[in-house]
Amino acid sequence: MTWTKLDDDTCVTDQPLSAFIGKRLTDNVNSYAAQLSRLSTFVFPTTAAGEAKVKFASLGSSGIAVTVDVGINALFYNFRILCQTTNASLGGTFTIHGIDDGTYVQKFFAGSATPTTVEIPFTYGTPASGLRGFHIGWASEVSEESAGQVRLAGAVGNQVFCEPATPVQFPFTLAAGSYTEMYHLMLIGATGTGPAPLGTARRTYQVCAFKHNLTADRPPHGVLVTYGDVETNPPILPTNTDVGGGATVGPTGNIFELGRLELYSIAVEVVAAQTAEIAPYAYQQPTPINAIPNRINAGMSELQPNAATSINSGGFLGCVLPAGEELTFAFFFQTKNSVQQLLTSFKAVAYNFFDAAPDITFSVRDAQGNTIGNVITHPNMPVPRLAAKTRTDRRVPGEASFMNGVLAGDQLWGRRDAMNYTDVMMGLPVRFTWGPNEAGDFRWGQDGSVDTVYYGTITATADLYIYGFNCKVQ
Amino acid sequence: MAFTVPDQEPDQPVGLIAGDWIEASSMNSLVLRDRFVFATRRRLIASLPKVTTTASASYQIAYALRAITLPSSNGTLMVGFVASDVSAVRITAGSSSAAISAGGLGSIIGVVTGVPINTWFTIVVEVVSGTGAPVTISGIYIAEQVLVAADLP
Repeated sequence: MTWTKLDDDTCVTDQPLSAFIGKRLTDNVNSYAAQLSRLSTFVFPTTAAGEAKVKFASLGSSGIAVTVDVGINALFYNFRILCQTTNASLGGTFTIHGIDDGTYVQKFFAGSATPTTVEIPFTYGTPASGLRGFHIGWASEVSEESAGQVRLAGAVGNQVFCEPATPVQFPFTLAAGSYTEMYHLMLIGATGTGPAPLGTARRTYQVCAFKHNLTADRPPHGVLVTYGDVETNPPILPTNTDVGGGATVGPTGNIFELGRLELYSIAVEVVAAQTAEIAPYAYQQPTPINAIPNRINAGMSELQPNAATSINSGGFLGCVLPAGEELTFAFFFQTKNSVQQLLTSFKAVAYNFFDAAPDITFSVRDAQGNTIGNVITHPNMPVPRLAAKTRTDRRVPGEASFMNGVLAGDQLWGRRDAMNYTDVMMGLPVRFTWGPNEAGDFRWGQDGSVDTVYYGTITATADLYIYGFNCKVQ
Repeated sequence: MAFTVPDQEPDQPVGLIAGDWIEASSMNSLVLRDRFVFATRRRLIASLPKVTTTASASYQIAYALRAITLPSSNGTLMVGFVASDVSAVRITAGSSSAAISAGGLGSIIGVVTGVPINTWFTIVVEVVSGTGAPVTISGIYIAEQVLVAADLP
């Protein structure tokens, strides 16, 4: 059914007008869930040339959590992910989890060298209203053939020391003296004269970076940075074996390429609601103002949770919010609604070892930066700390900690701030209700108008990582 | 009677249940509210994070996304942003494009017309500084334009 105009042209002769209007109004209201269905789009930054900045590979499923205001009794969704892969013939598998009830769906993407829309239908287990969370994960496909081998010479935490195997070349592109981003899998095993690894521990690791050391007589010649520590207690890398002639060798690491995702945007469309269960006031749907409040700030050293290589950039899948700095998002109103209430919610985790429970503050500014209404502060929020994945975590007060210990110094990522499903669940939900009846009204934003765009700001007294952000007005 | 859309949301009738006799004034309020809700509950297309331009006088791509408008859209998108100085945002939606310029510290709202209706299309968002130095754009907000009487069926 489509929404139709109410007039007496379609009224049957002698039909009671009140019954006619009542019926048509009811029909219209019940069609709102479909006719005014929701679309939430989460957009990620690009380079000036339009290349995706979010690029990551993942041995297990990891990615991003988003929060969507789905309206009333939403059941069917379509996810459309605009992406490509670095290697056109090496893709991966998307997994979409409904965070609220665990429903999930998977779809394999074979890879593409150009931006492609991957459509994934999703059905929630039960009709849902209001805010619903989803985790969109990516698990990389692994290349069938090895890119080559390296000799392993021991490991500390997530840093594996290595030498070139025969021939005397590393099997990947190198940048002398600095880190090279990698999106590979390492399989530790025995090959040729090298010894087998010890014990029965796991022997496959994701490799996120490589540092090449060209200084003479100062081995090792390279350090591979893995996601997840190589097990060293007991160590799985044995003492080098004497192979005669004064030479010793260690086990072998076989390097395989992982499918690397390059992500532009994720659109979540509510296809249709379960019309049999439309609420009586289905038309009272608030207007979403949701966004991923991530930041692009190349001048700051910040954390990438779960990233094996810390980098000098903000979070791209969520938001790294350093203490005292402002996170902002802009919005405007197109109607003179008499009730304006901003409902803001997100999840937060802390990552600095020494930070106390933070105060988190929300306020609204006009285009000139003047505060409108009240500033709301939630004091001493018990934000959980995301544990480092390696033991090389930095613990220096006043500085950002680097979860996996490697200062890359530039845009060398590996996994960026992709989070897995279980990490996503641990964040503390933070909610703010701003208004109504604040001092100062929102002006009606129309075409050509100036100074009618407003922005919300979030600040905290400790370094936080924020994700699953949503803001709506009602 | 002209088909109008009130610019302010009418009060909601209260206390009505099925089977009640509805007075004409209450019915009128319901009709007005129905028009208002349908015309004004438009889709948010994207709310983009803060972006800082380079000093270059050439447009740089900041975001690319896929979007779809409601079947009842009038094919116009409104775009607003808060800028720290003279700058511009260019939106290319499908085959339509528009540049919206901010004259200094403050905000501006503009439109892109001729946008595809109820069909998936690509939006490319570009930004440029107008000062020769980097400019911070605190957010780019893209939403369907609310309907007016002429847009309604």
